[in-house]
Amino acid sequence: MLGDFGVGKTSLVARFVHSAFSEKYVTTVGVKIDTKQLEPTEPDAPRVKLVLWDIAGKSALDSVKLSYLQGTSGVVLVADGTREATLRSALYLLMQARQETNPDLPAVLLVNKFDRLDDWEVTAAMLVELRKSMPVFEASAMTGEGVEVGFKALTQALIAGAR
Amino acid sequence: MSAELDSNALPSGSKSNLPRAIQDYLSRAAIAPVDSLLLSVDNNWQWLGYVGDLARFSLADTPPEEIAALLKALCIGLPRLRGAALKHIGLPNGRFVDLHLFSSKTGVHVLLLDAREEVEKTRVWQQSAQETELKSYEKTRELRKQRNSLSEVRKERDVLAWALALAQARSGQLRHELFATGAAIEALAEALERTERNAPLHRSAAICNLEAVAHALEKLSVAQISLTRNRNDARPIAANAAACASALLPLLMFAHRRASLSTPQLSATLKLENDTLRLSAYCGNSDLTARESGLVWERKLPASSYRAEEIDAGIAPSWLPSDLALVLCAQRQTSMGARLTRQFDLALGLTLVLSVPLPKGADANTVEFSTATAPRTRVALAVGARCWLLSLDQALAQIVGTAVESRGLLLEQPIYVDGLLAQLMLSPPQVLLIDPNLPGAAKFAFSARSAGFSGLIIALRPVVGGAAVKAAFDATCESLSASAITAALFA
Repeated sequence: MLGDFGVGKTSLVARFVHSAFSEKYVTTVGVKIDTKQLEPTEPDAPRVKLVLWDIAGKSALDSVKLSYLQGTSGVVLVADGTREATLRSALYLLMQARQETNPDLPAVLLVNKFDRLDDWEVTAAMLVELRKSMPVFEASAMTGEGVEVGFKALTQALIAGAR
Repeated sequence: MSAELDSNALPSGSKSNLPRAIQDYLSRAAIAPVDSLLLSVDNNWQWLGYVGDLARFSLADTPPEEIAALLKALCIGLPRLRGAALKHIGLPNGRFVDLHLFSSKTGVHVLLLDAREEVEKTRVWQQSAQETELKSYEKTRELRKQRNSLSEVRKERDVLAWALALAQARSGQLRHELFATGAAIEALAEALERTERNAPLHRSAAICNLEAVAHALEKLSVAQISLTRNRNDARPIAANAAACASALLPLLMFAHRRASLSTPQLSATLKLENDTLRLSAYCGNSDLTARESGLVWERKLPASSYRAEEIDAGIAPSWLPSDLALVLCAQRQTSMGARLTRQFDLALGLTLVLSVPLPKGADANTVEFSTATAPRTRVALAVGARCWLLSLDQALAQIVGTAVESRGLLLEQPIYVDGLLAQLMLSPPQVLLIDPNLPGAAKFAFSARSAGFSGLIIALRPVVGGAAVKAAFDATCESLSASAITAALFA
């Protein structure tokens, strides 16, 4: 999970793994590990266990944060729709991550806080452009909208890559 | 709680039971062994054993194979060098550790160091700093909103200032017209005096004028005219009477309810009373009897025939008769070869741009409503274009259906369920009509745009009123959402 601070990475993980949400903002220090076992949706599909590394938010990765990326299989980029700057941060973080690990590192973008659409600074036109380069999902950790589908999209990409 | 590691993996007899290399590592880093837990796995990440207190790291109740699997997940990608480290790892059980990896002949040693204290310290200042920044951002956003509001208010003020200036100019014009009218009355009085003096000579001419007015009006109104007049022998139209009659209708159009005109031969008044247009014309010739000198012409406005037009335009049925009269007059004007474009402000507070720029000979009004793509401009849609309507309001759907289908468009009303966006994108219609009262409609519109839907998005804004829902098409995209969907988005 990569993204600027306060975009809702931890909340998205909590929603995805525990189906829970809290309004209270608690900053993440270092990295928080969580796991989620995904049941196969088709008979021949493999069982997948996702180990989620929820990395403390920053607009750029320092050496400590970069060390967390070793061995990563894919990235869930997170931006806050109400703060356009976090979208740029997310894209910069992806660039750093790909430089550090694998230039073709699979990634999906979750633009969080879709429940506050009235406050969004990120426009639909921006997302149209971004969709040309990666899967993009409008998501809300609060309502759960777009969360599961976003994580599953990355999972599918990982499975496809493994084949 | 402690246990011996595999004797091959760890040397026995040392003071802390930790391998010498790891003890040296801890000493160099000034880390107390009590804060550490050494876990060992083989090269296939199978559990070998541990040294330290599992309970201190909340791992006492975790099965060894689960711990081994966790270690594998944590260390994946880490180089197996002495002391390869990851700081501030939050384990699924909530404990924070620093992780150090050591390779051995039999596998891997993973040294966990308790990092709770350091993480908590970091959390305190980091939380404070980030909350401050987020609050600052929110305040900036509020400020920006207020600036935008201020800008809007200033624009509105400028518009009002313009309106005021125009009104003042109009007021001056009215004063001038009043003065001119006064002069005309004086002239009329003189003319009447002359007429009275020459009454016998003008008798037949006056009757002729009255008949001419009636005849002209009859010609203007193609059907359903109820005309009461005192004589039946309509004669050829006198030039002044025809001019009088044709002048009255446009006058009424701009005066709304009453228009009057006087000539030396007669005075005529066209009035709108409820849904009836009434013309009264009188000749001041004293040689004529009362019956002979008066003419009354009435026309009940064919409101029912305009009903379809009202629905077509999406206007509520409470359109005032006066507005109907205006439409009627506008129609007559166009049939007389005029071109007219005018904006009506209707009683519901809606704005309808009604234009009648029809070529000579055409006999229908064109009522246009603005669209989300370009407010208050016409949008050409080919006959057969598909429209999607997203609404659960069947009354609204019926009204919209009438409006849309009468324009030759095909209306589809898909079921509002998950996966609708994919359905939309699979076979996108040209127009997406959205009921803003439908929960999630604004989000759907945004998602449609961001997914690349390039058709029109029109918000339908119903006005609640009784069983028959009064609907009006409001084409401004702002109706969907105050700020999220901007005009630029639809450019």
